[in-house]
Amino acid sequence: MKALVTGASGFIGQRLVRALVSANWREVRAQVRSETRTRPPWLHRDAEPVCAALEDPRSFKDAACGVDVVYHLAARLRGAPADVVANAAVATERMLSTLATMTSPPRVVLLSSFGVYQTSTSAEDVPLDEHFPVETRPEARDPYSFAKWLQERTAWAHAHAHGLPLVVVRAGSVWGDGVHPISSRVGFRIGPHVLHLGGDCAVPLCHVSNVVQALELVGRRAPPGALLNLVDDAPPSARTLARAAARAWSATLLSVPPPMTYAACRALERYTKASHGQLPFPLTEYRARSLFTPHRYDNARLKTLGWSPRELLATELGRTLTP
Amino acid sequence: MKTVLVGCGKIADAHVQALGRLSHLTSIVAVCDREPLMAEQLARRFSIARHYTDFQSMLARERPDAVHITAPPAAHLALGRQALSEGCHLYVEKPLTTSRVDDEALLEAARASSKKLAIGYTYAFDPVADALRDAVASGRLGTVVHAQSVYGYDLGGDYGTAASKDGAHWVRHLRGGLLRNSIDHLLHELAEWLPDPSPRVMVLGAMTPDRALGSYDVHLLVGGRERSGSGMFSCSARPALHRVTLFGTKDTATADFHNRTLTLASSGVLRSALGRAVSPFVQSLELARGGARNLAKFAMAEFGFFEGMVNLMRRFYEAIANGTAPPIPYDRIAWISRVTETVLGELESQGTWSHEP
Repeated sequence: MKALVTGASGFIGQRLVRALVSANWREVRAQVRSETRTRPPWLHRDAEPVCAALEDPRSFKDAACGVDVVYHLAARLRGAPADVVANAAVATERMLSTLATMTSPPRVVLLSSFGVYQTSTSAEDVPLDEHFPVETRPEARDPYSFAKWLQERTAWAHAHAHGLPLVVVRAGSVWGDGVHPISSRVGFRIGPHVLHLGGDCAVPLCHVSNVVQALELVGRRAPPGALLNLVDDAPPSARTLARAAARAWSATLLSVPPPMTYAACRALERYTKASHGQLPFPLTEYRARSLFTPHRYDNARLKTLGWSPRELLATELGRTLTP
Repeated sequence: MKTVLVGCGKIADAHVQALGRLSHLTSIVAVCDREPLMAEQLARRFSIARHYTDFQSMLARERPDAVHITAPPAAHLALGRQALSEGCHLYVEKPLTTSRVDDEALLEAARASSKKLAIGYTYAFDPVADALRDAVASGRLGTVVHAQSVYGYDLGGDYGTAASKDGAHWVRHLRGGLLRNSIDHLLHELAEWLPDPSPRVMVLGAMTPDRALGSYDVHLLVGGRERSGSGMFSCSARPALHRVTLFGTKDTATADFHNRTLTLASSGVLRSALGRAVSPFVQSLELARGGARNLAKFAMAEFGFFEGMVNLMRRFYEAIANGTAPPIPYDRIAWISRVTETVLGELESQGTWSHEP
């Protein structure tokens, strides 16, 4: 099997390249944006760097020529909304347009996000599996989730229009290997305090080693058209994580129950509107509800491919939280 | 009035937000981008009724009174001419176009159409720029003899990061790169105070590491008959300052665009040892007063980042409504275009930079 990994220099990309090489993929190409004279230090010695831009049909076609799977991980997490959309959705559209012109296009494994689900309303009795509704107000979410929503919609449209073999993997919050799991689903660190906003809702974590194991399997085994949730078993609660963070960072834990958070967000939104955006507050009530509404996450479909996530929270959490 | 916008990148957000504050003058009815996803994302985030991928279709269907051009500069001339020919007023992001010849062509098209054109020299309409004008008008500075403009560019900021990380960013295809895209602000602050239409310009430039991006440190001396000016554009000096100082025969005033404060040098120039000891406190008091004024503006929600843009757009739409002159004289835009070309030519002749599109 031969693979091309876009976003290969990123947190997941670097580790996926290593995992594919370790799993004896015959050829692993790591896409980098610019020509470098020296080999990137993060790149596994058995992987091949290929210089290509997703938006450039010629260079990307060359990079993807002859591969069985394109793992599409490239995406910007932060920045101005227009840049995040351009980087995730527009670049994907260009990339897929290029692949659609190939006589035998490779399978595309797109790494998407739980951010595309409509999680602002409570549905603890309904498992958040692949049938769960997708967002109907994506523009009201954070720029990354909005961009991922547009990216996925574009990818499915291309798959249907051009018969591209597409697999979409929606991942929760990726952590591990030096990256702690205290995301906005848990709260924020403010000076000597941990502001815990997520109440007792489960946080859909996935350890990066489980992520790359899953992606490797998906590349080999998932049928075209598959949609898969990627989340570890037994997700911890936001409270558990916030307490662990406060202990590790010797910080004071300040817990704000979600209803109070929603009320504060409402007030701040009103101020933002009244002040014509003078002090934009990124956490709107809708975004807060999307993050802090409890859900029961389901990963059964991915397990049918043979994925068996390791339980790493107990052993790794302390290590990633240590400053 | 009905407004449409073409070019749905990052700066388009600021335009839409600023237009939202001018709902008594105009409303934005549609946006356009060649890339459908970009048009859609802007329309969705700001609840704009319609979005297009074809500019001519948008003009034909929406019949707007004004067009905002926020596309990359290489497209400005063609889009601007098209909009003017359809009877629209134009608000164009800086730089006006990509060359002096094209700048003059677009200005000429605006003159010939009798429609109004404004360019995004937003800092000139910042409240602190108005305070500086008031100081001059009140006679406190006496006669202005020299203007000095300092414009620092933070490559680590939102805009700098986008340009420096993207090897295919449009700014890299501009003659003069990042300098070309930003020098308008510096030059406008000189142009306002230097009446000579054909000043002498001396340039000294040094290229900072990203040669392809065109991130310069440039020093200018602009000599006119009545006054002189100087400027520094720097991508490497930190913090990235943005100031204008007017040296007058009675006093010298500095407008700090980041802190939005205006300080007069006279408050710190006292005689005798006691005077020198007191001076810093007098200056502190002046800054404290400026801070208090800013706090009051903050409380009144008049302290946003793009306050200058809102003021410029307000004057642009008022000029349309009242049939008065556009907020920025076309002669001044042409002056900036001429000086920019001289600066780029000088840098090229010095070997600091060469145009390699």
